Amino acid sequence: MSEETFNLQSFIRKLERQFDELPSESLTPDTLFRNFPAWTSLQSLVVLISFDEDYGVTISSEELQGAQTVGDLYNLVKDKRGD
Amino acid sequence: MALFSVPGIKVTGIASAVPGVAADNLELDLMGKDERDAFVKKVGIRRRRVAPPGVCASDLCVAAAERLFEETNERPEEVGALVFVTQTPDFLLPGNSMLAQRRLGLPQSTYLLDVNQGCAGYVYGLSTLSAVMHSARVKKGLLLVGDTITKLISPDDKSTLPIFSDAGSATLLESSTAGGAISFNLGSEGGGASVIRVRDGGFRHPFGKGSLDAQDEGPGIRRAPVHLAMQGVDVLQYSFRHVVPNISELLDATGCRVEGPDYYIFHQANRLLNDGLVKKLGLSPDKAPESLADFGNTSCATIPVTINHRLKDLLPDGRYQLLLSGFGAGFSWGSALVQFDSVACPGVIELG
Repeated sequence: MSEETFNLQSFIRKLERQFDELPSESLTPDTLFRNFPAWTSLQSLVVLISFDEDYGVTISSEELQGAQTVGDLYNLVKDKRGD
Repeated sequence: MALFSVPGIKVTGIASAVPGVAADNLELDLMGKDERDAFVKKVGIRRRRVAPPGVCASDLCVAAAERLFEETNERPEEVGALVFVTQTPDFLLPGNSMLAQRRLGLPQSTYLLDVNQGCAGYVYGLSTLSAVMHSARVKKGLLLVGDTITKLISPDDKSTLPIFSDAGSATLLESSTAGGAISFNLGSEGGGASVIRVRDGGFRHPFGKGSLDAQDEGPGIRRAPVHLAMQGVDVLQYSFRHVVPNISELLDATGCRVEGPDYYIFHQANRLLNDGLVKKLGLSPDKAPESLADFGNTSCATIPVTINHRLKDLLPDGRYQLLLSGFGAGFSWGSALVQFDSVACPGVIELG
């Protein structure tokens, strides 16, 4: 698990790295991630695996369905980490 | 409790057979080029095998068994127990084990059993056959494991079409004091029953007018109730939740360290999931051979296909300890620690 400080900014930077060819600083807390063409069901698996590897958290399909923005994803992970 | 050992069982040989027809995911129409390329790169599946109409799992498994009898000079007349694992039987009834008994010429006294299991099926089948052989003092047993899962897939479902593939396998076991114990650890969470499922055609939702009506279930996912429906996110989470703890528990119970087994043969689900499991166990990737790229996800047969594909040059001439791990429909999972000592292991057989 990463020793880096866990905050919104570091979360977003790490999330951007899960996408191929996404320029950094493309995502903001208000980005509706589902509208990204790069957001396929395959990409959702890549992101969920990264949450498991980087933060040790498991997000269920229902929880994912309830999230709309990048900020929502951050909050989901934050809650699960118990911060 | 499904954490147990069966003593004195030796694996004599293992064979796998696939249909000759291969589909290439780089030529798939269902996705645009970028998505296709990303799929092949990340999911790791390039080619799939597709059984033509008229070819069933029983045909693939019987072909594998016939080849195995040749390779090992064993005789069908000496088989005392047969377990057939499939989710795509020839008929609703009778089960495939009875069809195989006739086709292979097994004695009428053979203990026959049919097991309805998916991707955890090889381990479940191996545990069942070993236990039967031990209890009933059967000298030689045959395990047939296979599916023509492509026949359940919607042609308009990009979450399943590029993944699933067909194969059948045969494994010969012998009760022998020279054989070590095979250890097993099985588990299941029935709450995950709908995570991988064919809804219609059984008796809860009998086949009827609406069964063939395709529904849109997401971008690029259009399927009918008679098609296999898989919830990818849930499969990932169930697998991550159960597979590694199950393996760790088996290793602890057998006093084996993670570094102990020579190879870990995981069910070939998709590269993302499989790489994740390898990382969680702290394994070196060369200890976890794959058959995903060339054969895809062949349901319950991925473990034997991987063994025949990747270990054919090693197993016949040496002693190896293999950790087998299957997980899937149920949601079920199971691992087994098996000694392979000079085991006959031809390369994957291509039919027709």
